[in-house]
Amino acid sequence: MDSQSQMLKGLLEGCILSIICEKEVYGYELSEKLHEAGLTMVKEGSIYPVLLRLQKNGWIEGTIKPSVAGPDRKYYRLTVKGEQALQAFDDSWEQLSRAIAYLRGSLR
Amino acid sequence: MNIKQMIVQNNERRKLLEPHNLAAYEDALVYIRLNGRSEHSTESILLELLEHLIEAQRHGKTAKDVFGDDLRAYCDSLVAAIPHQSKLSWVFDILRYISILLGSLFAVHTVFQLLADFFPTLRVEQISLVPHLVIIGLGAIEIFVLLVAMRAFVFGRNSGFILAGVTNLAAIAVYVIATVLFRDVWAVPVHFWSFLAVTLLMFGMAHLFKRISGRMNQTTASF
Repeated sequence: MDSQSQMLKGLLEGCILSIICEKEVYGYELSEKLHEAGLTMVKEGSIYPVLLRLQKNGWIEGTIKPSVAGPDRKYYRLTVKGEQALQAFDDSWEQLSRAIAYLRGSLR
Repeated sequence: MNIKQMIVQNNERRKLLEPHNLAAYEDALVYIRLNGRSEHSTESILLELLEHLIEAQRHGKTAKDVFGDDLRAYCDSLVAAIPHQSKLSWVFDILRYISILLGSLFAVHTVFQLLADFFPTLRVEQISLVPHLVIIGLGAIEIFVLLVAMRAFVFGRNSGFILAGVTNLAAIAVYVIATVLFRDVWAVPVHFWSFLAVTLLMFGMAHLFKRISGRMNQTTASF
């Protein structure tokens, strides 16, 4: 595993929470949104272990709904606990990116 | 949806996959199902993966694009995230397994009692309970080894089956030795009707345990 994907692993949870916070999505839709955002290095399938972990934490909930196209789809929605987790993620990301920006600015 | 409905739907929807995607998906399916985690969560995520793959296929992508180059590593990461079965439902699964095993053994004894009316050499006056208890433990080991062997086989290693075969032979040997060694320990008199009753009771209990365990998994599911 290269350093980029190591770093990505921790951030993927936060990215997924952000997307689900916007609107309820199902798996394929979620992977497309990640791709559109530029996270092209994320393999589509790798969202599912993350989704399972987020459900286990009680941060998201899934509901099965029939779709217009035919198949049943499992839509994910953020829970109250999930909103708090996303807030915590935002805060630590803010702090981290400020620190990195400061270090890069002062070292150059 | 309950577990049975999800499996039926999976079988149906799987027909939409193209051969190379189907091959990869079915490898993943067998490997992931043999994990001993919550059956409801397992079937639910398998169905989700299937729908994802069908949609990806429609957009010209392959199973490799979705799961990555190392399918086994992907499956391992997925299994690690699937919730465990509730402890209580495990207990009922084990009770069910013991009931089936004892029921089968007593069914054999019962048939032999019936045959003994025609072939007197088959008649025994008593049997020991010790080998029956021994085989419960041996059976558990055997099932575990087989499970490991089948998982390894999905991704092309069949050495596990040699181990399973050896374990099986060893289990039979231990059973035979226990039968001879403990002939008069914890012996119960053999009687056709009582044995038939025990057989039926065991299978009845197995059915009951299956229903209880199934219902537990239903209610502890995450959605």
